[in-house]
Amino acid sequence: MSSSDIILTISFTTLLILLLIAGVTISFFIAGRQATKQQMELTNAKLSYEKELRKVETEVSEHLMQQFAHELHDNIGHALTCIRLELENKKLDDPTLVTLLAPIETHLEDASQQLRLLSRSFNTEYVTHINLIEAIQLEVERQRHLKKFAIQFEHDHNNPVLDKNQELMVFRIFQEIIQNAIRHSKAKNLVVTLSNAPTFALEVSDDGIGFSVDETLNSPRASGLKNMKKRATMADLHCEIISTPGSGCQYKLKKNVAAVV
Amino acid sequence: MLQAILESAFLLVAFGVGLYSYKTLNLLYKVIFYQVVIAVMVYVASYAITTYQRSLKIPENNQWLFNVYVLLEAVLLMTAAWIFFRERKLAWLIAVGFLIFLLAFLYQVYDSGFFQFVNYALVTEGILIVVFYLIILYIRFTSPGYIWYRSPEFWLCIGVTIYFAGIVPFYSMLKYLYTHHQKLSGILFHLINDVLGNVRYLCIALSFFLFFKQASAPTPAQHELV
Repeated sequence: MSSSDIILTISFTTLLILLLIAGVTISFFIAGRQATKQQMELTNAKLSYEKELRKVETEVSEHLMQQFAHELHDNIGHALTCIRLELENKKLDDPTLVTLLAPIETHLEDASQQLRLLSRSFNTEYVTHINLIEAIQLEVERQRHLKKFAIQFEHDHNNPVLDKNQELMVFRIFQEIIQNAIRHSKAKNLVVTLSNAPTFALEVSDDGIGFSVDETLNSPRASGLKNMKKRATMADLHCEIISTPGSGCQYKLKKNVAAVV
Repeated sequence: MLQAILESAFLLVAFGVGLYSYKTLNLLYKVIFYQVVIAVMVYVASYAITTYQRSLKIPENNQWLFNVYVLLEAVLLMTAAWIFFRERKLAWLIAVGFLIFLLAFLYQVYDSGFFQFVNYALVTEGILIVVFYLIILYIRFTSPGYIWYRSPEFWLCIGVTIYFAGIVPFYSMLKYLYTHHQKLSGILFHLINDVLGNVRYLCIALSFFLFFKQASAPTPAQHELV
């Protein structure tokens, strides 16, 4: 073999091998990008599925609440109305019964009022018809009648910045917070603060016994808190729970930072 | 002297960058740094030996030194690959590869003697190293969120792969060239081995630098919210 043949052979083979290595590296790069793309598509599909599932869960839950509200109003409300009419008839038949029946009428009126408020709070159509401030005010009034704790509601009178679906989610979260306060907190006082400017924020604080947030969230009995989190995510809101045993509890519901920016 | 500097320019750069960033390097990169240190020592030693032999007017032969270097280089590079593979349960590949290299090395030493350069063992080592480091590259490329140009492992693997893949044709024909075209053998050695060697050590220096930069970067603050 002549020198030029040797140089040519070695150069050509070396170049070929280096090109092969380059080709292999490029194919790895393409394979990596495809794997990343597939991973992203899978993640997006999972997120879409979970979002749809949450949406369906919420729709079913709202539908059941709506049915319950109608049952309360139509059946039990009707029964209470019949009782009131009977009492009126009895008073007309025997005027001496007026004094005797007065306390019963008071309790009946109270029960009707409570039923009306409860029915409205469960009625999705009613809640979405009025604005968030009025809906929370409604719930606050209902809780004041129950006299479980002293409840104070402050708001900035600004126009709502959330859409109707978000307002409904916020209201349901607020109801969940109130239920938790009634069932678990042993609180004497509850303060509710709502502001719509410069950005939406709802804060609910109580002076109850408090709890360990991380421990509770990891336990199976945290379905209410997890529901709150799901609803907040669906409404594109941020839900923060600050509590330690013995120090009460604070719930903060705000618009997502990215959305604010 | 100028030739020596040109041949070893990027080897010294890799040594310098590796020394500067040594404290931040993890085990894999420390092993690569030890290989660079040994390469520098062997280079200096080979130069000293040939100069000494020339001064005494005796035949120059430092091939035995490079035989030792080939063995040490194979051990260190395969150890670095093993460190990466052991987390992924592929360490058995390294064991098999090293066994194949060792058999090739011992056979050639037995056949040609220790003072003849073990070019076929080097070719075997080259093929095995290319396979191992391409596997590392594949695993990295298919990891989620992999940014290749910022990855120290990418530059390490590319440098090592280019060198060992590029030298295979030349070293396969080394014995023939040395016997029949000694002058050409010398020219091709400088052209292929030194150029590809500089590319390799430039990439290694870059990988040391990127690792140092990433290890020194502050971690972002984390906020925990429900």
